Amino acid sequence: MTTSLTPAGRPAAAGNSPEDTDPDRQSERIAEVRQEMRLFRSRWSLLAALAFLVAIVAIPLSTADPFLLSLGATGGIYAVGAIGLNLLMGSAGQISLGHAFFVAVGAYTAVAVGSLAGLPLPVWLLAATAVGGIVGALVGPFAFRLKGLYQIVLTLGLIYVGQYVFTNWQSFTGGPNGTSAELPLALGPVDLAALRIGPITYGYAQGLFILAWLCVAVSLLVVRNVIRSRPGRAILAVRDAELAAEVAGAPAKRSKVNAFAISGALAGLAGALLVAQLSYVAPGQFNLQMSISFLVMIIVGGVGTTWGPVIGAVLVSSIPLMIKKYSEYIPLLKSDFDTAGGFGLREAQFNLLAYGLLLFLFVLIEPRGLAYVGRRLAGRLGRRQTQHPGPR
Amino acid sequence: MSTFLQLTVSGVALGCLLALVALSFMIVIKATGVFNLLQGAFVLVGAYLVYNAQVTWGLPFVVAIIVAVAACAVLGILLDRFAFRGMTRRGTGEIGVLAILLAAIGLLTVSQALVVSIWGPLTLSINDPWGLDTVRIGSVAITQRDIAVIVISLVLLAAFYLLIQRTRIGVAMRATASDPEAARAQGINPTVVSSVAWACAAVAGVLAGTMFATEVGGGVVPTLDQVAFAALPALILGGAGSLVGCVAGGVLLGLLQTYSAGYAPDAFGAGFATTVPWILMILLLVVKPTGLFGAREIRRA
Repeated sequence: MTTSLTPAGRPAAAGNSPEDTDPDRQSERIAEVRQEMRLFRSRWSLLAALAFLVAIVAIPLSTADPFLLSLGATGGIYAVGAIGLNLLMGSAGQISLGHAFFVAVGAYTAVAVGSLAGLPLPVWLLAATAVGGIVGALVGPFAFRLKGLYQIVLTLGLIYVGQYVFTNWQSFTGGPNGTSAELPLALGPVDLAALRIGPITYGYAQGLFILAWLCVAVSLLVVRNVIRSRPGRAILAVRDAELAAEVAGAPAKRSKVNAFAISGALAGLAGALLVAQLSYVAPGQFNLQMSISFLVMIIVGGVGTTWGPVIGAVLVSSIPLMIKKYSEYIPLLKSDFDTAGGFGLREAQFNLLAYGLLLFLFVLIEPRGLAYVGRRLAGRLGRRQTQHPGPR
Repeated sequence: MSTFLQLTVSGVALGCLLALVALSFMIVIKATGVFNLLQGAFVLVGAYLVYNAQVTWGLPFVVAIIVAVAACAVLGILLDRFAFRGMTRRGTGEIGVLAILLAAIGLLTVSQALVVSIWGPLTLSINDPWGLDTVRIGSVAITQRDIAVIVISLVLLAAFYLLIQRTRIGVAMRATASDPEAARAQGINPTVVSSVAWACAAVAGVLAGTMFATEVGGGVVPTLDQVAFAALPALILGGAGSLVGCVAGGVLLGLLQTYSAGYAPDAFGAGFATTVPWILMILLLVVKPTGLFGAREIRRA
């Protein structure tokens, strides 16, 4: 967090400014840091969080449109994975092209526990998260010893090795053609697959929407709490200045392994939800392109911010669905099976083009992402208000 | 025995191509200090441009290659000048040193989408001068294509070696890599150095892509950019620092991949041969993170 904004939108003073020697300024600065480290930075963000909770239950219960429901659930599922990658890249400063591998680990754990063994919702959800986290913690020590190119290539290798293993483990994964897997959504007496409120019974799509976004809420809460805690602050400190952090007593190795483990756990959770949504899983889904789409999400949303990955995931994951739905209105688009000559974008290519351009243009023009743009706009509005004699 | 020799020749041919692609990555790292994946697009776009120049416009094979190399080199130099360099200078926020890599991944994705949009998803074949002819040496039949690939690659690699080790621009390149400030103070123009590096990367990438596409039963396909990723283990094995390392890493992986394709039992499953390099590389990184030839670590992404 390089620049933090106080609730009034005023940039917090830089930590090493000369004013900091003034005891009054110092206590004010400490108060600002306390504020920064609070779970909810102001009453407004607490209210926003509550509104968010109400919305994730109210929205799916007020519509039966399958397109909106699938749009929402997909956004939520990818948001969980993006929150994980954001912790690794934004907070820990490590890069991973292997995020899809952890998603695959979670997905196949969910298949084994939820579909083949037939265990209930909490069990397969937690199992996928735990196995994802364990694999993350196992990979972490090797990945964090490496930097730059080496780290990229190691994590890229995970995808290829993972695809090889999953493709050849035929009895379990169904080989390259994949396998269908039904996951039970019953949570104690409440079955999310057929939710009953009063006289109305809701469908699977609505239950999945609620489940996915509850997972988003829990992931946000967990990551935010981790960052506030001592190990979490160690993760940030190690990113900013590894040697200084270690001298100050922050364990560099353990914090990086922690980051990999949490990131892997959230990816695993996303994988389990993905299986629940598609009722089908194939090794080919978890390819480099999936890893890249997670990267696009966090860059578009805003690396290192709380809400950035959620915003990015919702926007970016909606692109393929939107294109499919509105294909007839998009110029130059042609069917996936059209092999005739001449220039024309197939649906799959349109997605690639959109993802690639978003990634390139955001890095080039606004690498801090939409969360930063939004905060700056809000800050500007806030400043305009404080020009009148206000509460401050 | 004859199978072994046959596999060895095609393994060396594959290895030379992997070495060329690895070299195109290495030379840009050397000159700019930053790992960039954009060269992967040269392999793909280059091969398609060669196809277009040769088959659609009817140019001779060699001229088609020159056109494709020139186009890729210009593209690389322009992007370096107007996109990547600004990113280094601004040191962009939270993603910092990863900015260039992420932008390059974006461009690689765009190039793949455009290639399919322009030339379609089907395999196209280049009229390469080698065709399917084979040369018989005893009981071993070697395709002319493999011989051409090995000879052209070795000539190119030797030329690059001389360029880096013996010429003024090569010295300037190495000076910039080891200390950009001091090199500048000596009057070395970093723009010239990185432009030459991008041009070299274009030559290596386009030729590697084109020669990949002349493989027997192969052709120009939209998945050619996977070749660029396949060359990354070679880069790591070689230690990412030296040309000799790239060649050794490339040939080692080429042989390994071809032998596993030829000898691995069916029980090892589909895709074993293409996964072997990655498994070997992961094991190597776990045991010896600096690569077989132990060059210094590249600190910046």
